[in-house]
Amino acid sequence: MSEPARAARGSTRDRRREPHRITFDLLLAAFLATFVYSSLDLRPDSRLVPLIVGLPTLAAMLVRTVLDLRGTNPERGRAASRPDGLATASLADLTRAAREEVAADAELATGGQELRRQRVFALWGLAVVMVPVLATEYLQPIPGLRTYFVPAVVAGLLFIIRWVGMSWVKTVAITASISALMYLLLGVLLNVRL
Amino acid sequence: MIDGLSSAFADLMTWPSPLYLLLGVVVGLVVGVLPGLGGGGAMALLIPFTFAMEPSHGIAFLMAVGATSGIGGQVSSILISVPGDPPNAATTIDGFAMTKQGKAAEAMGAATFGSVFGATIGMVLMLAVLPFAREFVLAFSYPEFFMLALTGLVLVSRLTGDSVHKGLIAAAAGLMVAFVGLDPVNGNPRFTFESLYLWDGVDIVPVLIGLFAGAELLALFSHRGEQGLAAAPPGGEASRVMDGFRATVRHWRVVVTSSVIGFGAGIVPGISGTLAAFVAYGQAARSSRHPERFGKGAVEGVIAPETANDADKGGGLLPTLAFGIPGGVIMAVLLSGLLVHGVPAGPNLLRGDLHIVYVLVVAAFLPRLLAAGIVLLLGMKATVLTRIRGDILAPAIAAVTLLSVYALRNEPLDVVLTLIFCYVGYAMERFGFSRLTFIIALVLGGLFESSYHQTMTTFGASGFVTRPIALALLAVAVLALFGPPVARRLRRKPAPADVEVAR
Amino acid sequence: MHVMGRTGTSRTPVLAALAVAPVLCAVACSDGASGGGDEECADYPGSDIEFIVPYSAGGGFDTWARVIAPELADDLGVNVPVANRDGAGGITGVTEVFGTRPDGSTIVITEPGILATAQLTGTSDLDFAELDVVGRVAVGPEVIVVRADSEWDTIEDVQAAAGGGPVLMGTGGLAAVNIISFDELGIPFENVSHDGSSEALLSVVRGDTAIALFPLASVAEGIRAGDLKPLLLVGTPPGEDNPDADVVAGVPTLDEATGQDGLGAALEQHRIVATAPDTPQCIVESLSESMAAAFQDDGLVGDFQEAGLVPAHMDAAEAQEVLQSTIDTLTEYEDLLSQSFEG
Repeated sequence: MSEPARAARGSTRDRRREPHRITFDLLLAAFLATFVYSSLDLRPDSRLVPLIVGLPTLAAMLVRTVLDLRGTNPERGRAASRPDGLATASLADLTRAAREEVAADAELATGGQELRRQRVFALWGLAVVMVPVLATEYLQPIPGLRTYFVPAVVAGLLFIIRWVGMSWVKTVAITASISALMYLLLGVLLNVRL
Repeated sequence: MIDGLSSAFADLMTWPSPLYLLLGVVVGLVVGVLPGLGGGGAMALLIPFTFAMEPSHGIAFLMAVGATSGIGGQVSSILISVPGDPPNAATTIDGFAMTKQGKAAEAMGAATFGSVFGATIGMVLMLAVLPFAREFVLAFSYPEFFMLALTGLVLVSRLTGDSVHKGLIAAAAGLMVAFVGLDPVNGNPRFTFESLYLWDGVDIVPVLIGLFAGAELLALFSHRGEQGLAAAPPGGEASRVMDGFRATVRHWRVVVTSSVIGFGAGIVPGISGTLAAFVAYGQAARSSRHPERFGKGAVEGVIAPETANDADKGGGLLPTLAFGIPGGVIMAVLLSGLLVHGVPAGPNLLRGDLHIVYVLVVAAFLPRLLAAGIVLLLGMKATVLTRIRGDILAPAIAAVTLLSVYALRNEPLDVVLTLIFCYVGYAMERFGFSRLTFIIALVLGGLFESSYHQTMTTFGASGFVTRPIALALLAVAVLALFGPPVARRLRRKPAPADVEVAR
Repeated sequence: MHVMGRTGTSRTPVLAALAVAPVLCAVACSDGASGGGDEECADYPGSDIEFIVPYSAGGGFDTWARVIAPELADDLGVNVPVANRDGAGGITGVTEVFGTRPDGSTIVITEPGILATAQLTGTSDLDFAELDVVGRVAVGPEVIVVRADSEWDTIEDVQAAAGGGPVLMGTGGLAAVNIISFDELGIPFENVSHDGSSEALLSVVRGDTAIALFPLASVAEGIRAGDLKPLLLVGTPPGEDNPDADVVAGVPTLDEATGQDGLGAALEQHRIVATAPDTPQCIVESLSESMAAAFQDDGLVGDFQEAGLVPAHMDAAEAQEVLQSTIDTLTEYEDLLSQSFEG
């Protein structure tokens, strides 16, 4: 693919994702700002390096956010033709290429069905992690177990495998074999108490 | 030395030692495959297991577990994009890309032979330096560690994703996360937000797994759906393994460079394997004639990190043997394993009975040959994973990962952190912030800051520029930073045209 | 698998437990609220006792726990699984045990010095003196060392040199024992922190730092190899049964150098085992007796020697006293400590 073509593809993508992109920019800026702000109370030795790193980056991040807000795509036609010597790095391109491939995957996934699956999986992950963590914190422990992770994982697997359309028999069989494998590896071989 | 090595070899080949070696290899491979649970953690869990063994058997067993978990770790990196162990993280990038192209077997072959070559070169270099081990280890002080960290950062920050601008932001964000925890000067909590969990800093394993696995698992579940990752290659898997071998031989320059990088990084305490793998990956990409193929399934992107993270163990043995100081987690656990078995590992190891030293050296090397054999014979069967439908494989991997991450430290918050970084990794991927740059900054941040302050306190600022090794490393960093653009300007050549990669 | 059986730790039947969990919880969870009474003591220990090691696997505390656990298991007739729960320099694991139900079902191995420091410097809001100590397993002196070819041969040489400015001390993170000993000796120092004792000691061998203070077990090999030179013992001189006694034979102690009796004993490293506060006395006694039995066991003595451990057992009451007196002694230095840690 030629450089302009790629840049063009990039910019259409960018435009469509503008809101999310800016949310992420702002989150990142907020993260950096929090760190810079909490550095101010530290002893000089402790805050020296974090501030050296944090302050310029916070500035760079704000510039980034403004660029994205204005819809400018500074990446367009970058790399070899960029005037500053640094950016001519051949490697500046290389992971971008890889990223584009994954992004293209994501692109395809934004069709209705795939988008729904993405959301379900993301929420599923959230539930399978957070429910047992909260349960472990606030509920009585299950005898013999340190946490609620094991029941949550089993329940989570049963739910999601059934959800993708497996029959109940297969769902239970698959869940049981994954559970048995983990029990053998962690419970028996490594003797970990889950 | 040859006599010592051969008698150690004979020792380890005397029944029932091979049995314990083999047992260790199998266990090492299995725990290596488990995401998060690496060699060090597994060895620690297995120490009680060795109480009942003869000391030499126990040591052979533990060493075999530690030495081979990296080879197991590459399997999960390549097949399911979840790094089995931090040193395998760099392998995920091109390894998993190859898997998606149906070249899993070739990637595994290349990684395995890379490991074997790396281990061999690392051991040879180690034996060559062994007589000067003390001088070698003593030559590295705070300024050298600082320059190593700096060079690593520079080499990898060239892999900047969307733009240099975003790459720098990703690196800085990684550094900031690395600064969480007790500060290295006064030991005061910093950026911990009143949480004891953050006192020891952000553990690398959950971040690594979240960043690299999250986006891929999501894509696997939602996009691939009922399909597997890849179809079986024509002609079967076995023939592809030899492609991997040939690729390793063809890229012998990458193998040699990565081995030397790995060996050198071995001296850095704590993080050597991960550092070695990332730097070797960066260097391979930099020196490649087709850097644009990296990240899209370049076989050198698999060979370089796997060679380096095995060669690193040769370097890591030096401080252990010369001063009883572990060069990494695996050596740290091994030392306490030795102690439990009544072998006081310390500076006297090299001065006293050298036999145990040779046993260690051989035991660090031999199991990896065994493991390579097993991976080549049986690991190919694991490529069957790539045919499982994505929407079942993804939750299964997520479940296994969740339990393994918890098992590593019994810390529920580690699992939460993994989850958070799954989302962060997805967003970074999508918006063009390099995960690679972020993670190497996180890995190196602690060393970077602490060695800076240590140098300033002990040597003063002049320490950075008056010591030959530090200066040499600084030169490498400067060259890496300004070399390519200058070279290109001199050549006045246009950037190489895109090469269509077979999919 | 018989190999593992020997350790006596449990292989948790995760799935089986899951299946019966609701039933068991109906029973176990409901009587959790009942107060301490004879009933609990008669049943004790009704279930597994979890042995928490508040450090990562592979260190001294871990080794101790893993050697003792099977003996406790034999004696009490239940499984005693060991779990590493590291974090915040050993505070996370203890905090966790502090909050468990006071029924003796969770025990932890720890060190009074770090607990005292944590509560004096505000790291922790807990009063660790409330922990119910069930025994001490070991005690070890700390040693001040310099490079073998250093011009300093005695601690007086260092004191004299310190007039010219602070000495550089290599530490694995600043600890109360460094601050208090050097304050009492009148030696100002500048701290160079490292990731652990071995890196700090290596910095002394390189000559990048001038002095260090670490447990005898950590420095013994270095002294024997001729890399390090011991100047002062902080704590009680090791007994004959300690295989490292020879390397510090004739080395003066902190008590002698400062004329303060008992200071060293409060600063050296005691390894104690404790359980949650307000555990019924009879349970504490039961655990204490079980530990005592473990130390009389012939087989265990062999295990200790094999693992390079030097046992110094104390029963619950004596060990509780050690915890209290360490906290009391360090409290006298509260200002110095908070100053050093917070500046």
